[in-house]
Amino acid sequence: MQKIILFFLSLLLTTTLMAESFHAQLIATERAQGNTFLLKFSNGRVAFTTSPDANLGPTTYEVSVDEDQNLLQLQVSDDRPEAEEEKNYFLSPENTPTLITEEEARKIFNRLNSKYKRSSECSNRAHVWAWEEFKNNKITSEKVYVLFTASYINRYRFKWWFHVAPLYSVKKGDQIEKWVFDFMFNPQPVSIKQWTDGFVFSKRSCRYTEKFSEYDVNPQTEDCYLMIDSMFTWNPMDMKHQELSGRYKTQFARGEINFAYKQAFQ
Amino acid sequence: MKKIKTTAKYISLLCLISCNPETKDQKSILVTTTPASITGDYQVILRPLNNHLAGWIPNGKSELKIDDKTLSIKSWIDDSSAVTHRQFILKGSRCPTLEDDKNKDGVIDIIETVRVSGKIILPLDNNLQVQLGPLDQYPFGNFAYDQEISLKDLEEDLRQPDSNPDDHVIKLTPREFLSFENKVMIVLGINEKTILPDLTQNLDGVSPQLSIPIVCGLIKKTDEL
Repeated sequence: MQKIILFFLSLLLTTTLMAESFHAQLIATERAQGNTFLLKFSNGRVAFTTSPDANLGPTTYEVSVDEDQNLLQLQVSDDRPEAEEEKNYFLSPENTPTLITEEEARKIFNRLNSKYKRSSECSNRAHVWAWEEFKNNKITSEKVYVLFTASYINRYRFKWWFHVAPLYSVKKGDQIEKWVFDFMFNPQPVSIKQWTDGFVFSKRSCRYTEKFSEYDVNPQTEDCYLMIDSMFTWNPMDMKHQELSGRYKTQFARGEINFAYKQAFQ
Repeated sequence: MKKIKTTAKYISLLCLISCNPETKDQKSILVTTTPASITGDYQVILRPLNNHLAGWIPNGKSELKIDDKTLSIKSWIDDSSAVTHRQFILKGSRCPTLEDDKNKDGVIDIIETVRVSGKIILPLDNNLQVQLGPLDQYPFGNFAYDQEISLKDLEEDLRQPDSNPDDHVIKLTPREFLSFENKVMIVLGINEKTILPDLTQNLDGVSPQLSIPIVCGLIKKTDEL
């Protein structure tokens, strides 16, 4: 009898040890497969559930998932960014990235802020990295987003529905190359394909799109979509908003920068 | 028994000092302990390796602090695998890449890693005083690791004779200073159910899955970052 109790206690302990929690806003709920639904959160994380609550809305939740991303707990939370500054939205999508040399690229990469916290969110790291380079050295970058389809997430029980990193335009001879600066996952700047290969286990290329809606209502035949946007965007919701409103961010929003520092850096 | 070992250690140390036919300068190197220049703060960005096997993108960070007397190491790893994670400091100064997958099986295994990143100089288990401890002394799953050791004890252990020169664990050579800068840190271990190619090599006594490197990084002084 003691052995049975010990077995269940160790099982409970293991489950607890492997559970992960995070705070984020619910962005979308979509059917993954059969009766399984996929919840997508603002921090890029996902959760699978077979019984989505019909009352779930675009609120910030405290979410707990197991190692296969199955939803364990969902509770309303008050932790959210300050209101966005409406004055930073403009009708022009103009954002010309600075052309940098290979040497400058290496210097920029090596001075990226390495004081990020455990469980920091990619959108917050990317936002701070882009902001610091713009603020300190007047270098304009872009952001590259990889958006994973529900079929890919379900197949690999992948943790995220999107990932983002700063993107720089590098002059290499007569060519201009786009290099991804994802300091947390790559030891040096890499091409977009090398970058996505780190996350797309099938190694399939991601379909490029300029419209978030193409990803949002995709037929699940791709593993991932790729979007490139200005450094002022913070997460894919900005691109959705831009597409719907026709208004673009042309400045960093102080509230978002403050939130990004607080969430992602020491 | 422990006294005999300690006595033997001091005899061998004395022998290094007095029996070695080196010049006076070289002798002073042999008896010099940790130089002051290694003191300071270090950081390791642990980036993913073999993430197609891990089922996730493992990542982490480690911070080393060295003062006059103590080495302290604090690390964290985010990884989905509920397994024991062996972690080591290797003697080399380069993390492997896919180009180092010499048998072309799509996996950078531990033997291919040791070939380019060097042999194991310090296993990061829960007993840093002894170079190799049992498996259960390594952290498990998503972990936070926090250990401290006296530099004197560490150096004494690393200057012991190598009891098995044929394995992947080595000691300091007589002329070598204890140092950590630009050395490689790795963490091993994926889910035991993962099917691996037949060519995947493993550490002796450890399953191929638990021998798979999942993150790697170089130890850098923080003022050089």
